[in-house]
Amino acid sequence: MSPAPGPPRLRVVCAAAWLSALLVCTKSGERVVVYTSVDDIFARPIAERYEKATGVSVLLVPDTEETKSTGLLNRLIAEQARPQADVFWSGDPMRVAVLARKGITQTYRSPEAKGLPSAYSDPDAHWTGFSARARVLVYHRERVATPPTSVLDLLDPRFRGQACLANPLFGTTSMHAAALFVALGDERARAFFEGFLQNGGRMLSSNGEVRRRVAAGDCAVGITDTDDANVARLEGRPLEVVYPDRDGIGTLLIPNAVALIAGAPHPEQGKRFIDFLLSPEVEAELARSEAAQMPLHPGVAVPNGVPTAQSLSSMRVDYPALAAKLDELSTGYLANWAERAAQAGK
Amino acid sequence: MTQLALRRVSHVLGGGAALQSIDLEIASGEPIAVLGPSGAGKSTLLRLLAGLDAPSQGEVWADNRLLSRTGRVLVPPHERRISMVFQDLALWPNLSALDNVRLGLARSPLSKQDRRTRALAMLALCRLEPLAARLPAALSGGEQQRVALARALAPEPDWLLLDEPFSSLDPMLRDQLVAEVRVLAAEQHATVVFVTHELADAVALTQRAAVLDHGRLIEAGTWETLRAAPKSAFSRRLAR
Amino acid sequence: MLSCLDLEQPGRWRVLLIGSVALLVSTPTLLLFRRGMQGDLLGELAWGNALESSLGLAAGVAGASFLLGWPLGSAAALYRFPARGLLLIMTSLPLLMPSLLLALGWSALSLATGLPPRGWLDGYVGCLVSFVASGLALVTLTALAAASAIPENQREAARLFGGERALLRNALRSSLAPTALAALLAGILTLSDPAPGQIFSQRTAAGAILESFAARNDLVLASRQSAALALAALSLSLPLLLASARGLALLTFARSPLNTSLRSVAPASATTTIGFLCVTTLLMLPAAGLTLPLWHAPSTSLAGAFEAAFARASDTALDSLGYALAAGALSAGLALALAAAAGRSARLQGAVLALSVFLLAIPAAAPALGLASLAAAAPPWADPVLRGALMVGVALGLRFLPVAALLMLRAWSSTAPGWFEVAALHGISLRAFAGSILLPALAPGLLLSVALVGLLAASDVVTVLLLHPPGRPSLALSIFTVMANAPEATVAALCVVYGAAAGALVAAIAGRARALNRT
Repeated sequence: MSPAPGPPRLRVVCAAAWLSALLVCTKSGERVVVYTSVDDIFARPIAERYEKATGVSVLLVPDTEETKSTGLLNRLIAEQARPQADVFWSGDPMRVAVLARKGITQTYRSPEAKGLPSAYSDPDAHWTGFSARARVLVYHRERVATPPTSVLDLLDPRFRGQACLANPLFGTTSMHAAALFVALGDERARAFFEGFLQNGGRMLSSNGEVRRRVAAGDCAVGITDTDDANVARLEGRPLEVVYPDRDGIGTLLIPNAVALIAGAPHPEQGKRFIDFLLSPEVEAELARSEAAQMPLHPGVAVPNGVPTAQSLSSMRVDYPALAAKLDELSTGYLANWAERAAQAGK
Repeated sequence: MTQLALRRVSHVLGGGAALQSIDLEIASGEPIAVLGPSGAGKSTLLRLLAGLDAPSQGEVWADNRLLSRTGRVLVPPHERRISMVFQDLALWPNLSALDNVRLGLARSPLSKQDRRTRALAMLALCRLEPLAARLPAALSGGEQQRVALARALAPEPDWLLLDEPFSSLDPMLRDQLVAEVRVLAAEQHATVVFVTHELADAVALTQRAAVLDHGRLIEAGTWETLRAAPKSAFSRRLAR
Repeated sequence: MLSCLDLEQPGRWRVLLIGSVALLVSTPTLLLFRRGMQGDLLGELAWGNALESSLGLAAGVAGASFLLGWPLGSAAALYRFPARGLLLIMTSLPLLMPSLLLALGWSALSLATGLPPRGWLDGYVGCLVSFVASGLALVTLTALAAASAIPENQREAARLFGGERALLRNALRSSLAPTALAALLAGILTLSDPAPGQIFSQRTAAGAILESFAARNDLVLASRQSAALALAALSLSLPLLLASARGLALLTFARSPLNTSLRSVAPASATTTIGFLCVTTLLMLPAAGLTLPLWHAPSTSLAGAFEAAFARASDTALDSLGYALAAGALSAGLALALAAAAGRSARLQGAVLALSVFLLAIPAAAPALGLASLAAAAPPWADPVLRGALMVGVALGLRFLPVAALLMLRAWSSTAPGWFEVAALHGISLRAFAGSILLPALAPGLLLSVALVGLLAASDVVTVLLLHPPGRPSLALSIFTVMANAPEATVAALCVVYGAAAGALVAAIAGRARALNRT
């Protein structure tokens, strides 16, 4: 037959064979599978350190920024019948609390958790808190003469139309919103959120966006996390940080939370990895990293500019209760508020 | 096979009657033209003979063998020893002239080498051997016609159905091809059933004619019979 | 066993095959939907408003893409103009870029330069400019392909009777139906994408569904909302599809090979060039916004950023390519089956198009989570397939099947009924016919399907996030997992590397398609 248009048969067969091998082959050897909502840029060096130290492959599955996709949490829920993950390493306790409620985690009391304050962990040992971030105020140093000291300062007329925060339905902002309702009470918390809108405050898509806009001077002041603020500092942006409400309700600390997945395919490896994460050495590394996270183990050395958790006036938080409050707010007030904030932002 | 017959054949197409109660016999060795205006049902008749469609009513016979009956094709097209040249020729565009003819011998008991030989012989018969390697797009209209003809005749069919294959050609080329078809069909012992609008071509190629109009068979017979007692515009033109 | 002739004749197998494929591709989503189908599909008012907003945005994107892409693509099929190849490649690049990147690019550009002024992009307009880039790409390429099918003698006849204007009018008429269909699909695609709405504070149905998934972890609500969105899209598109099904099918899928003869005609070529330059400028501006951090970064940081970007790209290259190729191959194969089953029946082609609308309107997370649940319920020995990289390709292929379906319906209609009938007369087996005649004739359409679906799959983040085997992300997903707190220069470098790889891929595919069309 005359040659027909299209690749010769042999090339097609070889290509199909290569593709099949690529798609069906799996990696072998000892491994631990870690799903994480911690930013990849921070989690990966820790995972690589573990691999080097133990020879065990860490298959890291990072998440995207919370507003950009449905998130790993839903993957964990969908895989519940037969999980692929051994460990869930979360950037905050709220996500893990959701998993614990759904029976997706199992209890594990790591020997490394002994030095960690119990206030930052689940009392039933479904998850353990370590290395915390804080919710902070950030402001553009050339646009703000008198720095704010409290989140309530965002209602000040001097910040009219100049304040921003991330969508309170997602991520650490949602946790902060729930904490405000618990700390201030429903009435005062609602007054804060309503006042924020009335003062022309803007709701942005993420903490990263808050950082970018304040650093660019598009907003004068905002609320974000310490790791976001530190990234801006390292980039030399004109952005300053305030740990708010030292004399009031306190600064909200958001610990990382790690949990062992129920039915994990490699439970022993999972436990070893959790032990590693909870060690003072990892806390020290996270403190030194761009994440600038505060160790919860007492006595862990921190670089300049990174406070210790003990040095801050931190908000008193009952994390399991906070999770329940967040559930109520996500389907009620905050959902309505976010809708109005989106309308107001146009 | 010595005879093809349509018995009380009716066929509905697109909600309308394409053929209505046709009774027609076609004898082997007696080439026949099927005439009529556009929409008369000529192509439909050929398709039913070829087994490409099943009649809505009636039967199609080959001698004593029932080929199709109401709603069913009992003998598939490739077992009827029928070949067809379509109006658009339906040459396979990505195959050369040689391969178009060679693939047409798919059902032949010949070996692969013999099929190639036979295909080349048919192309030679149609004066196309120098163009054997060309794709249809690189051939002229007349050359494409001859490839279609070679492909149709290669399997040595008993019947050769032609569905207005020369309609897009200029008169000189048409006359030339009509003459070639007559010779080739006779040499290959294939009886021609020729659908056309052109009376002159029909008379040149066939001995008999059947005239259709609005799906009905108006008249059928030899050219002399039709000339002597015309019942349709076609045969009245013939008489003139 | 089917014969060549069966492919040309009505038969129960057609409906069965279309139904089977529809069930296959819908099953992962239906697994999720069954939880949500009890209850009020419209729900509270806020959801109703979000739905209305999304449908309005979809209509805007479809309309804008159509108005810009239809004349541009049609003119590009007729005229040679400077940098034609490069401009066409650049026009098609947004197909590879997640809308989020374009939205972030516009936002960053506005922030850094003040242009466009911040208020201009808020809400509807920001979402529109972010979405219209990929809509424009789809519509322009479709118009180009459709107008290229005008045979040379028709072009000459039009020129003789009315000059270039008559020719252009003829080209516009020929490309109207398929282009309108592409614009409709481009609009539908925006329904399931929440990203620009999040960036520009526009409340959308996709954003509401994202909240249900990610903020409330309410899969029941999310599936109910997804079902409502898909049904709304289908209901609104169905009248258009039904009203023009016959005309669309006949015009869209008319039999004609691509005509690539072009002319340089002074005013027309110049106008086309200007048009494309405007469009590509529109596309390049957000890309420039994304890469701004590179201009400010010190050279050491720049080097480090690109080193990190290349390392990430090389780590993910094989998997990214594998997912894209698998998605393209599966999509093209299923689309071929759908096209064969639909045949030349306007009714069945309309059914395939309706299925396409439904599939495109569903958020990517829904079928992905359905597949994840399915894999979890399956025994461990099935993991290499159900939890392997292949499943990512499968999920992506199912997601973008509508695009391949449209292309293959057109390709199938370009075959002649006579090919099948002659094959039947000569007793050619279906296998021989498919291998020697049918598949080679459909090869350009198949290649284009594989390429287009592969490109779209390469830019998908949601499906890959939810299904990729641990340790095997794609490059697009990697960009999104680092962008939160990675140095901006690193993220910008990743976008540049991604864009360059995408451009090279598009150029390679365009070259191959040209070679195929010449043979």
